[in-house]
Amino acid sequence: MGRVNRPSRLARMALWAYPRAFRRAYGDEILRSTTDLRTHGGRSRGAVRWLVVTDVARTAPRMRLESLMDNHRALALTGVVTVAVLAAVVGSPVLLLLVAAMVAAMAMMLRRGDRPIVTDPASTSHWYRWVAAGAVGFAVGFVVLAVDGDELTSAGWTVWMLSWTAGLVLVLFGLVLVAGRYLHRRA
Amino acid sequence: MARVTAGPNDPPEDFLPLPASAMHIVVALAGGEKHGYAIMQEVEDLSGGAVTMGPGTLYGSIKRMIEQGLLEEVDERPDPALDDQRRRYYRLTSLGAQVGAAETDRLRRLVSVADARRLGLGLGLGWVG
Repeated sequence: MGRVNRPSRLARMALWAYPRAFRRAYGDEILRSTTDLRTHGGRSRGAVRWLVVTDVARTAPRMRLESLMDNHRALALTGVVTVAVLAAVVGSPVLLLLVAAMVAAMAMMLRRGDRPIVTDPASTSHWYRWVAAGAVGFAVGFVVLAVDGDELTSAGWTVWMLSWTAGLVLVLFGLVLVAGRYLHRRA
Repeated sequence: MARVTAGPNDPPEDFLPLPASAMHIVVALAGGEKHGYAIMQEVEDLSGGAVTMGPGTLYGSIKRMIEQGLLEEVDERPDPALDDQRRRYYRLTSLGAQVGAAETDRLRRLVSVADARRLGLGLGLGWVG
């Protein structure tokens, strides 16, 4: 009986899928409700586990994304780490320069404070412009590939890498804005 | 530019359409304050077992609705002899009740249109087959 009254290890582990603020505010309540499902709801252990897993899979990613949207620092850090990993994989000094530029941009952003990105709908209404700008970046890369042929020259390679990196960053930023917009519409 | 997120100072119409999970919670709490598990039970009963709200869904919705001013946590606890003191109870705010009423009206109008088009009788799918 004692085992039934305790929240399962799975439920406690599942809590870590949620953002810290949510976990702190509602973690105990979630565990208590999960335990209640067995003790008062009469559900089998398997049924409760299935409910916990599907519930976390459905809700935690969205909360994580919302949490990310509300935190400039986390978003900027994600961008820098992504580009840094890309740079490490490709071994490009140009990309490392881009990392340095992004770190500088992040430092400037942090000086402006930790403000949410999508609180003001107007700031996300032109997301498609970012995507279009990214598409232009990719197009420039394709032009370089077409002009330079199979063997890229050093200059061609640099322009191609810069244009595709810029395209990727711009498209990703546009998609982040769309995601933020969608989440706030649903909220 | 239309607002995308309604808040405590907005009129009830700005919250519509209410997400299904939020409407279930509003209906469950229309009967009085309840703790989380009681809300989950009520939602399941109201839907005839068709809707099972998991704890993450429930408390995610509760968090958002408190931020929007639709719900509030109750400070006073029921008789401690009857219930666990550690449980947190929630109730509808005045705004939450107004939003619930507005959403009910909206759904009623939708249902009346569906009835007029004979969807409720299962006769509205003449185009199939």
